Amino acid sequence: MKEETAPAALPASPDERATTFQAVQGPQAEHYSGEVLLVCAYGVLWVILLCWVGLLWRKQSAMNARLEELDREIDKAAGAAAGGTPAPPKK
Amino acid sequence: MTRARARGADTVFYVLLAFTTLVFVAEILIVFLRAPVEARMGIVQKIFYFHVPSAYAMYLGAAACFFGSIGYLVRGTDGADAIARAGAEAAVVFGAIVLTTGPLWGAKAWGAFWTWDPRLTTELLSVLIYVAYLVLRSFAGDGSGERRFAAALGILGAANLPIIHFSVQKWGGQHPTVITGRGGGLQHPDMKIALTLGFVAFTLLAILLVWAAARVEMANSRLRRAEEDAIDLGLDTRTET
Repeated sequence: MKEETAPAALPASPDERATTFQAVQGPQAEHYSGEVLLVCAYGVLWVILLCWVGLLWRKQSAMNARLEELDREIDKAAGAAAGGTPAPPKK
Repeated sequence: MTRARARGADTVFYVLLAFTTLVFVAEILIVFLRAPVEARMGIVQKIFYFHVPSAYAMYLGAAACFFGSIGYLVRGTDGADAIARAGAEAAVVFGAIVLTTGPLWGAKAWGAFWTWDPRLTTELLSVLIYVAYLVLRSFAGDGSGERRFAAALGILGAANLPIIHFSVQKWGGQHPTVITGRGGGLQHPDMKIALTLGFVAFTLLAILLVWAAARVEMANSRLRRAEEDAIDLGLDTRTET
């Protein structure tokens, strides 16, 4: 009686572990949920697009910062050329 | 005059952005509330309404890269180079969407996320070509030699697009051919509306994003020239990298 409830086929050695997979019988066959896949696909679409927009935004911000830095350098040089007093910052 | 032109371009951009948003909202409502569930595949078939337009948007990005590259080789302008680079970015982004939404559909339809089907393989190859283009632009400097080399890659990359498109007809495989000449087409009018609106939405989105990316690239080119001038005049304390 005890022998009937034991697993159908235990591997005799560790080498056999990968060769004893068994197919599920009847309605238990594996299924992916269509709803989950659809939501994942739709989510991925927006994540990828937003990542690209975010990268563009970051590039633009870095450029703005660099432009301000260049503006300051130009103001400093213009001030030095005009007689030692720095020019007022641009608005 | 130039400032007025820039302001006009800004207005067109924001109008296009508003219109694209409206079309996307309409597309989402039609896909999820009006288009019927497909008889054999079920709800997962709705991936189709943005998977196929994404592939089309990838072609648009690749076309922008192709024409921008030709423009750069012929005229050598920053504008053409910026369009080529923005097009390559769009091709990678929309290609990534195609390569992730497709396998999610395939998991249900084929029982496998990926097969080495001719269309899937050629699509992957194409995306990798544009990734190579962007890697080259990011790490190989921004001189005219590097730009010309990248332009050649942008032109060669477009050669794979007809191969992707006709791979299903020429080599078979598992990929569906629903909207090609051989396919039976979409059998319900609401399915046709959803797909048509999807094409409109993704065309507008691709134009918007390529435009935005090209403007950033143009500004970046001008900034680099200003930096070089500042270094030459001894104004900039930062050394060239």
